[in-house]
Amino acid sequence: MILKANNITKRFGQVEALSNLTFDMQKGETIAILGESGSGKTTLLRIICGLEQIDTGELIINHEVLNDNSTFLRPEKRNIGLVFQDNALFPHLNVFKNIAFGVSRKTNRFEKVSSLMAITKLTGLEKRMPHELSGGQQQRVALARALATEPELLLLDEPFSTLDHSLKNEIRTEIKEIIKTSGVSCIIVTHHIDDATSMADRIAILKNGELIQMNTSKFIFDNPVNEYVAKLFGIVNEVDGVFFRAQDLILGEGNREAIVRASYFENGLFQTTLQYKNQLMYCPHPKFLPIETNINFSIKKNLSFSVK
Amino acid sequence: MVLLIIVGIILLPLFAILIRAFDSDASTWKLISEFYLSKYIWNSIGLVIGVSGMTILMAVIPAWLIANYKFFGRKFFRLALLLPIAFPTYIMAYTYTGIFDSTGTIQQLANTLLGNDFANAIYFDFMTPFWLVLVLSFCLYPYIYAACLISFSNDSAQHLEASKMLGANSISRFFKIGLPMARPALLAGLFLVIMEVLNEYGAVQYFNFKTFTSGIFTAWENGDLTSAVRIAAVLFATAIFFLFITHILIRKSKIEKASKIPIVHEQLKKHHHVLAFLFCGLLFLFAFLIPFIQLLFWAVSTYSEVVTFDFYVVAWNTFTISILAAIVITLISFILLFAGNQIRNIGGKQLASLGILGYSIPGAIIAVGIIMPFAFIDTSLQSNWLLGSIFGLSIAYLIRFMAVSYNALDGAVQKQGSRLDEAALNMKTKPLIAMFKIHFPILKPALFIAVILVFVDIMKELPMTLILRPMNYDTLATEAYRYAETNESAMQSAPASIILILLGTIPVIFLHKLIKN
Repeated sequence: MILKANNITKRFGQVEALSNLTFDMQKGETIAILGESGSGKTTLLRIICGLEQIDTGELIINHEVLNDNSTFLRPEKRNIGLVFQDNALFPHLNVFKNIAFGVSRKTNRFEKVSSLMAITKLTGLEKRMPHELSGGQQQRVALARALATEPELLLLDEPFSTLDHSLKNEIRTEIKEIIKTSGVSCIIVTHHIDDATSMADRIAILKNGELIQMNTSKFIFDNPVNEYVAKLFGIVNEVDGVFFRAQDLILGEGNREAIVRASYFENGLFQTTLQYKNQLMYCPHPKFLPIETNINFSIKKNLSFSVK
Repeated sequence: MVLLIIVGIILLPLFAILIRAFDSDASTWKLISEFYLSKYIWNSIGLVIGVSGMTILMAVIPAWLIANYKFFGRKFFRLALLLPIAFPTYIMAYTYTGIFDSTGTIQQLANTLLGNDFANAIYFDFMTPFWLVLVLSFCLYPYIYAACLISFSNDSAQHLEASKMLGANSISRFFKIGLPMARPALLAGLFLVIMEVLNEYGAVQYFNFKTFTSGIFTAWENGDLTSAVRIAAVLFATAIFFLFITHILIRKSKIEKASKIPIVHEQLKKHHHVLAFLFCGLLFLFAFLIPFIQLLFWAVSTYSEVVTFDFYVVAWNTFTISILAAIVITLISFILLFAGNQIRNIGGKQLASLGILGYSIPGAIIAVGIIMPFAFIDTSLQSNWLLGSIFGLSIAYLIRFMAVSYNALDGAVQKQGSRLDEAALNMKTKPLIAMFKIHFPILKPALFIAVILVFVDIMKELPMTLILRPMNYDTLATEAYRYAETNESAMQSAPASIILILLGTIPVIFLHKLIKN
């Protein structure tokens, strides 16, 4: 086990940012902490790397207590790499010096940095200043810099939020490969479900400072604990007290009849709004459906929640 | 046209200096250039280097500690360490001299408490260049402190966190991240310090340390205006040299700043905590508290002797000329700013910024530079409207302090953006009407601040006032200086000094608000 969090609580004044958070992660595993703004995910990340202290509870990394009521190991003493949301590259240092910043002078810095630059496809950009790099290149420098200290644990804070949509998929794949190749354990903090599902072995969902579900993405998709978690993975409709995903709404068959209220083209499909009794349902559909026409529907699979 | 007239007035002393410097009628120039000029140059440069080094040391360390760490009194020191900026340098100089000289407070206390032998044993000569550097640094370090504190608190927070995560200890974070990232701010503050040192007259004269300004005064007092102008020309070249060097260094060190995140103050270890408190505490003690208490003590003991009807007249003179000149200067800056903005696409803004060059010209240069055109106009019109008049003195203040109000207003105008002008144009409002109906009311708070800042600067101004004031006309600054210089005792100057210092704390409040935000 690389990390264990036991009943971690953190308050800022009257606000409880994290309450009784408990989870663990295995060596080499990648975990995504998923939650909306104010859910406490950034606070958790800052606690893990030592930029904030916990009020109660215990944080153990590699069998060593880093933070509890009586212990606090300063961030520079922890062997944790952090990639900041906007990369925080040192603006006065070039690419090589940025990556070499945390590497001990006693080691063979040049070889180490060169090899990391090769892995992160940055070779040839050694002398460039951060502002001369593209968004994707900056991201890779930040990752190489964090990996250069050979951390036991790597933390990525909203790593793709500053990238264009077109770049995102490419960079995500590259970074996932680099992380897997290096074998480092990794925690990604994000509020994008696609970042979490594409990068992580397990996803931890935070809401209002509480961990509400933690498991593989497939498990959570199939067995969300509540409506909030279910909706993180896409549209959830409700008809007569039954919840189901948009893709489980089958149009053109079944004995119930709905009226088409809207249909527009987006992401390769027609996003369709239907009305059944007083309830609206949403689903993607391959064909345009004329507005105000009636259409039959059935529900392929219901969703059931263990927690209301 | 308005723009050209204002800029013309600001540049007038420089043109006059250029013309007069080549005049052959310079009775003492040969003597000055052979025996004194190199002394003026090396003393001035030495003073600049000494004060620069000392102010950087005094400013950067507390700014770093206050921006990054939690320790007892941190919030108090954040404000308190700005206070010495309220001390005019000449007042600091004669206060400390009054404390340390052979009949000063320290000697009297030592004599009374521990006897004559002990008093003799601890006596040292205070009137040396080292103590001059220290005294000037006490008053001037807040320029760098404020700039660095803002930079440390805002610009490098995330990078410091990143370096912590990469294992950098606090010393390495300071040298590798904090300091390089704050370099532009530090250099900007340092530039102001250098300009203040070159502009310095009262303290150097008091210490009998010969610099450019004392040379200008000596030549002028001997009636040799051409020599005074030539020394002013060399001083101006030195000022331009430093301006050029700092400008290049700032440009070279300008870096892209990260998004601003609030800095998390780190708890210091116990012995570091004590050291941080001691450093800030001692700096505050020596740079403000001790001289201020000494002045208060003197003010109380000389109050009945000094604060007579004449003192009230001087205070009233100072207040009226300062407030009237400050209002006029602020209004002219307002007009300059908008005139420049109106013709922005044909270089109006650049032309307007020439109008604020005066702040980089030492007061003594402006004073001797302006004498010649004033004398010419007065002779031509057979009047005495300019030379040795309140009006003439106010024009000199305008040249020197326009930058203060211009920058205060420019910041507020930049925040507004150009949308208001565009909206006004869209409603077919003429630019002049828009200036008074839209911008003037919105900018009232900024105009008020600008008036206050200029007012305080004029109150404290010494070299220009000494040269250009009307006969038998004193301000609190000249009064304080006159007492300190002629009576060989600083005690009588204390009431005037206390008023100047208390007024000088007003800009400190604005500065502190800026830092807090």
